[in-house]
Amino acid sequence: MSRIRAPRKYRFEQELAPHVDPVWAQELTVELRLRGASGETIGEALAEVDSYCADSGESAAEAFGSPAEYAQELELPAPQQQEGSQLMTVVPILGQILGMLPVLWALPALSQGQEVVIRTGQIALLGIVFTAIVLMTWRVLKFVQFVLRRPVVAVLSGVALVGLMVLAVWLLQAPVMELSPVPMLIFGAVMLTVATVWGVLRMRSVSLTEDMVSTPLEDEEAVIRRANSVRWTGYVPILMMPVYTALLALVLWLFA
Amino acid sequence: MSSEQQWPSEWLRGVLELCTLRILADGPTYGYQVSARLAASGLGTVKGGTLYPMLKRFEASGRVDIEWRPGEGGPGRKYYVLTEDGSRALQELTQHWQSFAHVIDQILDRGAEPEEER
Repeated sequence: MSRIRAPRKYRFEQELAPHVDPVWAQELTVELRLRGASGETIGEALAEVDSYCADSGESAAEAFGSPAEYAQELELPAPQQQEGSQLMTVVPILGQILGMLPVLWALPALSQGQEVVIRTGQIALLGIVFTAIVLMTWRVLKFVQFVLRRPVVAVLSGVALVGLMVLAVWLLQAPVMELSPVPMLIFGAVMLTVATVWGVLRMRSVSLTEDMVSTPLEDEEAVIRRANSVRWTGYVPILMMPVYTALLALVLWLFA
Repeated sequence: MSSEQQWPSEWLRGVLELCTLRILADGPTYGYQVSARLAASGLGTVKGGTLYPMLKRFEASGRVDIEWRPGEGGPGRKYYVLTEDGSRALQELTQHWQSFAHVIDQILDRGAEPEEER
């Protein structure tokens, strides 16, 4: 089979397995990732399929069936998920939330010259957000499998979770404590900054090519080039939180 | 025997490992070549989706070693080399299969032995 031409969004699949339909290659990559396969294992599986398709002239779908079936047939050993290190990735995000919420709670009170009244609903909201994030990260593979395999149920669960948070804030109005807005704002801003810097530093310390999909005969430069081209995506979730906070703070300040 | 012959899939499942081990015994070879040789020998078409998971199992159980070699004007190829464990498995399975085939031949030639009267 000759090389297949595909849109730019499939450039990685094209590079890794040029004789395989890139949509098929991408689906196999996702299926294997969901089964906890390493980048090396996925790269080898793609290279095997590519080699076979190039030699036989058959398409991957003809020779190997659907990507989900083939991933199942490969019977990869169950992944050893490192729960400790997975949970560590979420600590900066929890820190960011613990910084963001005080900033957003303090601003309206500050602009109106009042104390910040913390109510039971807000404490419950924090509890729900923290629990949800920790649970999702603790079983991240199972969580992603659930979202991809049952998207409707996943969206409904998300809506239910948001509904629960709104209900908690709306119904649980008993005041717990009163705080001065300035120290609270400073605490929030410092917490948000520290957690963001921590997240960025953690991201920088992660090896550039760690667990990138790479084929057995590929030279390291190609893998590094590919890793570099997607490196920025790792920073998006970390930098999103301060940006959101700044935007929401601006809105609160203008409309308070 | 025609290479287009279609055997019942449950028969193929039973002999595919043995036939593949035998092909690997001729020297290092790669997936497509195994498939092509099986087809040329009359076993019929063995799809990549059946062959590669089996080769993966051989690899995991130590029956084969693997070596990636750059392709000539094409992608690289994964060569499978039969190990000592693989050779032993081939010998045992071959003997087993021959005994089994002998039993089946006898049944087909003479019919099953009548049950001894008590």
